[in-house]
Amino acid sequence: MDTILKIDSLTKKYPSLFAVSQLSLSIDKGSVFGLLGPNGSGKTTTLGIILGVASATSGNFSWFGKKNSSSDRKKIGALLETPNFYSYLSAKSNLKISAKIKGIDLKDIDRVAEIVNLKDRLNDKFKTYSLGMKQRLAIASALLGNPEVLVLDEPTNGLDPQGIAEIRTVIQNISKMGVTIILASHALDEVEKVCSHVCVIKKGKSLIQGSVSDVLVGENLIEVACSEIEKLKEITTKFSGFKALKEENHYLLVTLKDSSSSIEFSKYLITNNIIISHFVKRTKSLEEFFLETTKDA
Amino acid sequence: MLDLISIEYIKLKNNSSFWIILVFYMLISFYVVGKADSLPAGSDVFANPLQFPMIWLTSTYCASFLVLFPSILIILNIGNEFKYKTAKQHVIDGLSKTTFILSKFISVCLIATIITIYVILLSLFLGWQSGGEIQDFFGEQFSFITGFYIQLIGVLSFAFLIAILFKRTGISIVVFVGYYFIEVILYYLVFKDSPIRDYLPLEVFNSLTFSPIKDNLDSFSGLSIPEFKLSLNWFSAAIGAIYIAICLSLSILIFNRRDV
Repeated sequence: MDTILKIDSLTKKYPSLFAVSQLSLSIDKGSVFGLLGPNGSGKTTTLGIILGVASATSGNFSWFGKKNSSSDRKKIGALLETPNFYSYLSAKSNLKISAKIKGIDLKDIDRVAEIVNLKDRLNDKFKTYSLGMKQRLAIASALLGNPEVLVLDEPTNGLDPQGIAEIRTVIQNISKMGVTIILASHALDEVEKVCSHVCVIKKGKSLIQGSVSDVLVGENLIEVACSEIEKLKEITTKFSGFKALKEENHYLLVTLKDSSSSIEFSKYLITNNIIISHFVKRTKSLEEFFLETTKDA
Repeated sequence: MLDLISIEYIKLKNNSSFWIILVFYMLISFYVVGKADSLPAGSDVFANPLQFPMIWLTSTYCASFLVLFPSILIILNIGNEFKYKTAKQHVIDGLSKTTFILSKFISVCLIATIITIYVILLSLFLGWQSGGEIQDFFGEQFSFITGFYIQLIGVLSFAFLIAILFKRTGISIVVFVGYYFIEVILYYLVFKDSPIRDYLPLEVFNSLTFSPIKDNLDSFSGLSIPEFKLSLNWFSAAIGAIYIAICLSLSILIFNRRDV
């Protein structure tokens, strides 16, 4: 598969801290790549470097598998942090400026305005726009000229639930068109719902990366309950494949070693005369995982 | 290139402060140049400062006094790029940092060109009204229009550099105006007896336009010219061009070294 972006031990050092530290990753064509981390974890700095507005202290990156040049960025649509437009100009004039920089036919403005549902408001000044509309205009600008890659930094930040839903629909539709999307977010459900791959970062370091499904089923979790919880606890801890146990409200959350299966565990409980009232194999939610990993990092 | 010009044109065309300042500058300079013949020393040396060919000196000299207005225009124009973070967005959209600075320099040239054309028209109008000889239109004194154009681009480039350096409009204006005072101190106190003082940037730019009034010549013109010259000092013009190149190069250097 073609690699769209390759980042190799990227580091950005500010006088008092490392904003990005030895970050390496590789993004394949057609994937929706989530860069997930809490506020201040280095997501925007990383995107700023790969978009040419900030310089790296050390390390490399390359777009489309070749040497970097500023004209590569014309094939990338990007929204970094906030929508950046002239407030005294109309939305249309603002899009004209972006289109001219990218060398794109001005006819494309109507198409992108249609996608983000702003066609009727194109002649209004940018300063009259609501936050959600500003965000949508920024996405429209990023979509000019059908870019191969879309870089979106916190695209739903500060929006109300309806605005968030609208932006997500737009992102999902674009991804269906085969565009590679790089999405930075601190909102887990967003990454979970939209992305195919994820890299979790904290303090500029990559904690884990892989496909969302790999990262999600990384652990072997089982919810189990019966009438005699104490006895269940005692028996469970003696199981050969046992790894950890956590008592929840009405059930035990058992983590098994990777080597053992839920079937073995269920058989073991039956042979030990435990009558089970509840048995669910659970994938760990990204949220739990996220809080856990970023906590001890 | 054409795209970059049209981008700057879109930004300026719809900016109300651009039009207000420009029209204000045009009205004031028209008034000031038009009143030049009522200056007390005016009749001392020349019959009429508004007649061809003296009008070229008068208009460029008077208009250059008001260069603060277009300078503020440039500072606002650059400041907007930082205020709206569009400098950053332009780089993200695919301009190299150097191209961005060059595209902004187009604004400097656009504004200087508009004003110079205005001053030419103004001079033709006032000169024609004073009943000058038509064949004197483009005499040797017309070279002061070139001098004025270089002076404008020069002072605007200096404002440009300050605006790139300080990003914020308010601070840039204070530094820009403050530098005028600094240069006065340098000229009259620090380099009092040194020839260096004639090569200070604003001094060089000021020397590209002359007062048509002989008595004022020594105090206002830059390079101490013993007697009145009726054509542009091309040596000063060359030094002015060097200063412009320095301002532009420094702007490119600073912007490239900085995270935007």
